[in-house]
Amino acid sequence: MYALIDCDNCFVSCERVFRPDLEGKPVVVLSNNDGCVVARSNEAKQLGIKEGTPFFKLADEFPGVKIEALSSNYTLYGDMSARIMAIVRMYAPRVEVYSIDECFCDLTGMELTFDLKQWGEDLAARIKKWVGMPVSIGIGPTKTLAKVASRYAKTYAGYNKCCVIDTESKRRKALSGFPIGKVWGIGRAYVSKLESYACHTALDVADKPQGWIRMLFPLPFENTWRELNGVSCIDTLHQPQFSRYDNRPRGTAHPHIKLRQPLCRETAPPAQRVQHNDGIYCHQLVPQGPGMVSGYDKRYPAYRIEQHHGAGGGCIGRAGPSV
Amino acid sequence: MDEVELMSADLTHTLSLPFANGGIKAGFPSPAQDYLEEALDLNQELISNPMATFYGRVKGDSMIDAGVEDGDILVIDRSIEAQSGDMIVGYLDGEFTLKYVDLSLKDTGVIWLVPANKSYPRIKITPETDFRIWGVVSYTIKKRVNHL
Repeated sequence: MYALIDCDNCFVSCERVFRPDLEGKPVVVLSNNDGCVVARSNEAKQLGIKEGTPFFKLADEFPGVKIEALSSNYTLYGDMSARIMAIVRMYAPRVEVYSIDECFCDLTGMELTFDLKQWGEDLAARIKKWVGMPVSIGIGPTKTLAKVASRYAKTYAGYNKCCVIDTESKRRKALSGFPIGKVWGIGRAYVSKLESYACHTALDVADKPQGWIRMLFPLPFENTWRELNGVSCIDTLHQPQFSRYDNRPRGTAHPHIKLRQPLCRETAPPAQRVQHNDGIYCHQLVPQGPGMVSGYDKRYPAYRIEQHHGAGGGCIGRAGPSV
Repeated sequence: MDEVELMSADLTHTLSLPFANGGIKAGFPSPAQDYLEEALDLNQELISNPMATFYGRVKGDSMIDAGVEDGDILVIDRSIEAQSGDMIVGYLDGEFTLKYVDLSLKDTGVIWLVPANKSYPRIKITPETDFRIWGVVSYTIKKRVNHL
């Protein structure tokens, strides 16, 4: 069995620990330099604020509504996340941190000695008390099903923060009420294709024969299909762990001599992380000497994109002339 | 006005300094040399549960008779279950406050917040009050020289 521990509205909840006055109010956390909305409280979601909404549009789109908009504080979120992960490690021997606000636990064997529902409720209560963070916990025979369960735990208070899918009937019931687009690993492109085949719920997909899946979809999708049917096959430990926060735009007004250093500083760590993932290609911005024409601004040096191969770590090719 | 300013705790560094384990005698100095073997790290000494520990800085004088003054540092452990007589950081009507807590009437739904300053009143907490205990103060740290 696997568990997914997922923080509820992570960034907003972090802020609320130190600002309890924000509870019950629509709160959003903004991206770097207060660009756009990256996290929303449930109240903000109910208002219809979408993730990615530019900050300057909020007042126009929601006139007369008092929305608390906070600048992001990633140092705080990282600290709170580390605390939560440390607590989870007290509860389970094998923990895979999947992102800043969620982690998987491999509970293999624990179902023999633990009531997993109780285990999850205890863990959620402890994280809430020690750190102040509300989390939702989903438990299932595969990671994909644990994800499904966590969504039920998050949506319905009756689960007391922990939902377990441990029988065939629970699996079918959970999937039959689960929109296909919310399944882990099924993106927008798949959704439109699936809907053209009258697959609307996760159960519609899970009940398709394997041959049908194999004929129409690539292997990663087949793995998702297997996981929905209770066969564990997605190994997050050996998956490329692209942090969504590696994609960090940084504004700078420096002339090119000064630009070189911050650019190296910002691009090297994520590139290094990606290089550690075997067989994964990545693009790295590498400062080029001045004189090359940049499409952006001729005063600035151009930057070529290097394509790296993970296993070797070396540069094996170059794509794109400049950025 | 908030009476406590909360901070997270940076526990990534350690600093172990020699520790006179023989105890500091306030009388004739004993040859403490023999006892300087052990080292003490304040993070380890003051923080039993790093996952649940936060710092606070005191603002105001409601706990002055307990020796806790404006500017003192609080070590707050959220994992400790509050008991009567504990010093707690509470959240009351939109503000953080530092008080002793009296839970002896908790069964009747009443909690008392007790200041350590005669010019402040005790505060009665009923189920209708917007109040929660944020954490229990495990240590207070006070500066002892003014010219530091």
